[in-house]
Amino acid sequence: MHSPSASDPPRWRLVRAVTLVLLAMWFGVTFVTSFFARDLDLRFFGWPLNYWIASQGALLVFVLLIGVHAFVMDRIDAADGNP
Amino acid sequence: MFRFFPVPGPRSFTQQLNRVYAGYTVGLLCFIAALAMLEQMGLGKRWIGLIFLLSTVVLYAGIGMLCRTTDADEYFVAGRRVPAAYNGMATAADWMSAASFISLAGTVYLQGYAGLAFILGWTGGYCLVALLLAPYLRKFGGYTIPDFLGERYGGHLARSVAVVATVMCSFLYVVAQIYGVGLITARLTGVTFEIGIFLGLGGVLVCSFLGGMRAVTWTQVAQYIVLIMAYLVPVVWLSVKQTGDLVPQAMYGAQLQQLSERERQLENDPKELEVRALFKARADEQRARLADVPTALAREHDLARERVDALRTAQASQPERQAAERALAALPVDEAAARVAWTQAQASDEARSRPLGGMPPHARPFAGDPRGSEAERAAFDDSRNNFLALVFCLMVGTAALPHVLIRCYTTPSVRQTRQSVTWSLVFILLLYLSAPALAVMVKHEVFTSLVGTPFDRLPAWIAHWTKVDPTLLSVVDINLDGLLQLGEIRIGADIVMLATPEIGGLPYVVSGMVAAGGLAAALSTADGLLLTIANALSHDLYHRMVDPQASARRRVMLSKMLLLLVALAAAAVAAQRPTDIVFLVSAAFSIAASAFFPALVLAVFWRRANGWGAVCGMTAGLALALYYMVRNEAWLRGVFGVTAEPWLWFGIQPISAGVFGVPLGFAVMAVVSLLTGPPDARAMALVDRLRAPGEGVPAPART
Repeated sequence: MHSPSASDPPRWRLVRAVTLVLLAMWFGVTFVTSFFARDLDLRFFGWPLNYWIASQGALLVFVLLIGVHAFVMDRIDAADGNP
Repeated sequence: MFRFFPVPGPRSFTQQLNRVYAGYTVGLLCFIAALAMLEQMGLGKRWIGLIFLLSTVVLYAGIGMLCRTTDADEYFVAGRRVPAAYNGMATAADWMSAASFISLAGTVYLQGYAGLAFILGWTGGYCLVALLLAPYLRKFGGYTIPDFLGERYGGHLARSVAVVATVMCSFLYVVAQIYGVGLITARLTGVTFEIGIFLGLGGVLVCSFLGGMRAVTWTQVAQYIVLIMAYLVPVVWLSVKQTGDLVPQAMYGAQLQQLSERERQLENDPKELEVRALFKARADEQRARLADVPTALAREHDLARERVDALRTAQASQPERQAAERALAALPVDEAAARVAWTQAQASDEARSRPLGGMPPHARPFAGDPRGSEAERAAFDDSRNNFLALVFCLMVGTAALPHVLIRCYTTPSVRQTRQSVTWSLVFILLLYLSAPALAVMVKHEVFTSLVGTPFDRLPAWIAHWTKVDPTLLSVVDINLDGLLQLGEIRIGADIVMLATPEIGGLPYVVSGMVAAGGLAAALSTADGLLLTIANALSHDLYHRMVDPQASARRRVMLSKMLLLLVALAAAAVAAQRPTDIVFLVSAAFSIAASAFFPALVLAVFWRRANGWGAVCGMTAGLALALYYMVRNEAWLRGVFGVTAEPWLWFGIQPISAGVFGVPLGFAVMAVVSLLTGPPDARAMALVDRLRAPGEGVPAPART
């Protein structure tokens, strides 16, 4: 992904920004939390937090990210007159 | 769907599908109820297993027959009219293989937190699919992945490299699936492994051979329903039995806590320490033998022969003499065999001399200790690096496996493709949230109820599975105290799922259902893979490169012939029992990730990426991943006769070779693209079309 240039249509710049933000969240929830898993040794509703994230929390965030992407892209397309 | 349906607009098409599959689910439940009744009336276990497996295979074949087609759009992309939710279900079945269904819970059982790498990796990859690839592939609207790369990067070279990589990773993967089919049928019906393979193959072939993507899609939906029922019923039942909860996925935190406490108890239990010391002594014995194999082997043979002679002269009882003769016959015949056998025995005994039978504490992330001695710090870093690398490879591989990506072509619109990926992940999570719960519940059962049971009062499932396959489960009273210690059980990963119905005390019909579910998982993936290989060869290699004038009918015929050949070749390889399933599958991920991911992502997100860059990047990534695996992986070293010392970079295991291949692919692609000219106007126009709003190739009007 290269830096935005003036020649890109605004729609594409928006799409790329959305993608980038969601990817950053994906990266954070998978790799950053896993990297610090040993230190996240807290209780969370009776679960060890690190274990809960890797077995459930991250997975639910993944679904959410994809759902948000589908929703936002629909809105972007609708704004361009493409229902 | 089926040709006898009325043909109005898309809304009612979805409604028809709902009706058909609701009816199908009810029928399935009635079938199971009928079998349960027959079981009560005294039908044998073997028959139940056989009826279950055969009738589901016949069912899939029947759907394949109903959907038979020779139309190219129908054959290659199911007419591009699969509604989002159904495409999601088909993708989920396509995606979840025998490894997910049978081995996943067991892997988490054995490896604890480290096993969660598979859970994370095999779900998080869908974020990459959804964000970076799926909508753009649908907008492109082709038939295959090499098709997309060939159009975007111009020329036959990129297309050929993509075909080679597609065939390579899909073939490895399909061998693993057929292997799984053979194991499942052999274990549950008692037919031989080879017959099991060909039985399953028949089901795959009738389906994809006659109806291509259309038949595969509607069969995969049916298979998803079978496999998810077969997974959830025993899991929920076990949970109700253990804690009274209907939603184990949300509630097993308390059991995890109890399990961790029990682990701490068992680590210092005197009986366990005794067992561990005995295994330690055995391991030392093996090591002494390995120090001088020829002498040790000669001594073993002498001792065994002496014993046979002594028993004969003493006129000992028949069984005693036979046992001694068997022991003599079981000794390794030559030095090489002895070395292999003793090295394995030594490693296994060594593992069992460690706490908890060699398993790490379940909830603790990574081995070692970041604040401990230097060796402990190194172990911690090594284990964490390998965890992250494996997660990376599995995720990127998910977003690069052609058989998953071609499912993006089959929806009616770009919008539905995006929804379909969300649906896929929802359907996948139903199983993936349950697998770690199942692992903890079974572990809880074994650690608290089973450990300490007298040997003569062990539950029946232990004897049953030990007899089916001792590598799955074996128990031995090594300290001769008559009680089962944790260190005395050896468990293979697959047993956790396979034995769950019996652990939960369910009737055998549920075990049959689990077998059918495992078979559905393996067959649905094998279907998708075979179709991917055959289509890449017939569409990309033949139609695009050899004979562009070939008629659609001829291409479909050719694809069918190729499908048959590839399936037979894969079955022939699987019948050799090459190596373990998990390695075959993971190797396919690393290969796909290294070869495809950079070229696919940059195709849309970097206008400047050109054909030379793509060809060099794909080749470099693929070559590096292959080199790293062949150099370091035991089985591949044997196949290719590698004698050089293994050479691990940063301690990364060969299973995660993609962690080097993917960055190299990106780097080479960027450098070569910049060194050569910008892509031609046609490629630029394609990029603009992919990025533009609106729909791509619409679904064809129904005829």
